[in-house]
Amino acid sequence: MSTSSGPKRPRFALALAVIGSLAVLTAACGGGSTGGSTAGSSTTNASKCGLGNGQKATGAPLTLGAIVTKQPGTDFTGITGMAQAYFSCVNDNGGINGRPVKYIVENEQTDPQQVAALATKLIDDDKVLAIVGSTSLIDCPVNHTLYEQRGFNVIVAGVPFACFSTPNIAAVNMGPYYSSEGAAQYLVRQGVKTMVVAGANVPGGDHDISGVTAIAKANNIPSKGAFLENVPISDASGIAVQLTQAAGDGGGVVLNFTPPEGLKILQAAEQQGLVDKVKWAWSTPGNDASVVQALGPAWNGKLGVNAELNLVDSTGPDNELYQKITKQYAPTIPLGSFGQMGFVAADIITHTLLGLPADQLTPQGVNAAIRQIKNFKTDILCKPWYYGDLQVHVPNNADRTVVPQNHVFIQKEGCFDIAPLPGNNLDTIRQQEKSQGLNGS
Amino acid sequence: MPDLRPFLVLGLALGGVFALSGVGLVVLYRATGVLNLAYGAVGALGALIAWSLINDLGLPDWGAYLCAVAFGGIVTLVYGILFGPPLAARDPLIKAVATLGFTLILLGTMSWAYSYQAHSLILPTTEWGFDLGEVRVNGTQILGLGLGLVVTGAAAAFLRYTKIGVAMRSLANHREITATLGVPVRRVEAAAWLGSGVLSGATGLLLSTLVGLDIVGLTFLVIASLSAALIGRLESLVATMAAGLAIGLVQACLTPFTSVGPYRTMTPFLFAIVALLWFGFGRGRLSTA
Repeated sequence: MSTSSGPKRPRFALALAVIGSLAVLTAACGGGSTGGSTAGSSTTNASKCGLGNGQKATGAPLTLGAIVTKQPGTDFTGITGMAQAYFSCVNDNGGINGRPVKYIVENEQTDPQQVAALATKLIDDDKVLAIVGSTSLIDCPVNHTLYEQRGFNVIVAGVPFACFSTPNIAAVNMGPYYSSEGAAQYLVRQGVKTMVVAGANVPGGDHDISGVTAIAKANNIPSKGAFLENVPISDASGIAVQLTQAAGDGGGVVLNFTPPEGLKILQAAEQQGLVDKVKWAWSTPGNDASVVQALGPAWNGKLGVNAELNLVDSTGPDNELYQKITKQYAPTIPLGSFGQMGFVAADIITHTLLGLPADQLTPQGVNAAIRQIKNFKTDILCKPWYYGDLQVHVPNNADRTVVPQNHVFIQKEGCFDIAPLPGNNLDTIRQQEKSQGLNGS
Repeated sequence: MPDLRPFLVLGLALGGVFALSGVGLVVLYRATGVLNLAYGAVGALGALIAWSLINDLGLPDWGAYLCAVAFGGIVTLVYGILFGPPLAARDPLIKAVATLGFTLILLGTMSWAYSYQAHSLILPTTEWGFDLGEVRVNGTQILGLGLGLVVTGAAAAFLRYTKIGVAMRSLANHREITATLGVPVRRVEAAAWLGSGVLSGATGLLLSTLVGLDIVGLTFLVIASLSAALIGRLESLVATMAAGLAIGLVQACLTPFTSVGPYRTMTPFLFAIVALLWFGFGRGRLSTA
């Protein structure tokens, strides 16, 4: 019994090759937000890539950059891959007023020296106009000072807390800390008796899951443990048993892992008959097509996934454009929250660049324009996105809960605010949203 | 004191698969002198291919599983035929490093073809099971342990009682003398490569259910099997099996202890280090005497 989704082309070719070679041996093996569209039908409200004019951009390229973590157990290249797909679509549709976008993505393996060097390379050697779509375990803490010194206003899909607590970085997502908090809020509403959380043993991993304990405490629910697990996980069954034993009957378990790692634990829990022992929740990475395809019916309605972004099959114009671009330009990247993050980041910068006069297409001009972004509406987020002249940025601070139902996610809870806690800045941020009119609050 | 019963079940199942892998490594080493570091990667790619055959081509599950096992056997055999003879006279370390290169090729192929998304391959045996008190025991866990024990016994009997098995053992002692006695060296070595590869394919399928279908995780789970094989001195199948079971058990049972649980993945390394020190100490005493 197995399940699937996502990329087909390379696997298909590989499978065909293997089928061919094995056939002789066994008979069994014979076996943002404007109008237009990239492909297929378009409606008056449909979103489009850039100018949407169907003409290839041929002018001098505008260079953007990103830094992304790709290492065993942690691979965020689906985010930058989707941003690249979006820019490819833009370049096939008139580019930025005729100029194509060149997107330089640097992979890193959580080596601070490497990450510092890559940021310097992008800014000084590649002379990028902006850094957009970076998703790294250590880029924000390592490079935020550099970005501040060089006047770069960076748009990321954030992971460590420094992506949400420094003046020159703003994320399209809310990151594992706030998302885990949202998952814990869901479990509180589900009436759990205790709370347990497990996350990846990566830099900042302990902080990422600390909000769960704080939410439990704020709601007078006993916290029964916060576990950091080495990734890739090699003993998922043991972890599943450990978590359910710690939580006890009627307890709640919050997971904060990438899709492949979290899925291992859930499937192990199913094999061990532990699905109904506790209530399960997962931060945003769980909102992934390959995950929900792999989860059996035993999980129907029994896993609350905190979705920082809309359902991957939602029918808003931006999400439909996201689906089309994925199909046409990035078929190997599964539909999921990671892809949506890359899409939103690329959408924001594309509209920002399109709104600038040619003489402002410089690092100074572009980064000044980024800081002025406010009320950027997209149906993929709960609230309009903004950058703003703030000391800390958490523009995405409301989200949904989705649950699996017969291999698709359905919405369980509509948009709700992530709870303010001591030290998570949300009280201050929401006051500034109102006073500065950043997102229509 | 945490309830260790579920961890005992999990540990025995995982240990059984470690033992199965270790036996595959030892049989190959005894016949060819090659420590095959690509063992895990071959199993991982076989399991991923089974996943593709089921999901992309709609092949029946059992057909796909057979293909995964056959893939393990064939790809390992091809490697052995191509690289075994040229490297036969080289140092064992060089032979092992060559398989490391093969591992990296397989790892790159898997990363290219399967990207970072979540995959899932659950053997149908998992659906069958029974409750032992509050512990759920499923068919794949029993299969993992049972296959480990059966293969160990079968391999030991094969090496002791069959003509080709005896030839493999004599090859391990002295390749050139064995050849001069008329033993078809290349054919015997090919049989060892094929057998080891088939076991790697089966191991990959079992581990994809017991551990998860994960490229890096499955590739490097070979480390636990290597530790078991080292404890068996790359010679004793029974010691390898016992070590595999012990590693699985200890690693699983450390899980609920918060003070040492986070370090449980070091278990195979600790076993290997202790074993090497013990062997070294024993050799020192002998030489002193």
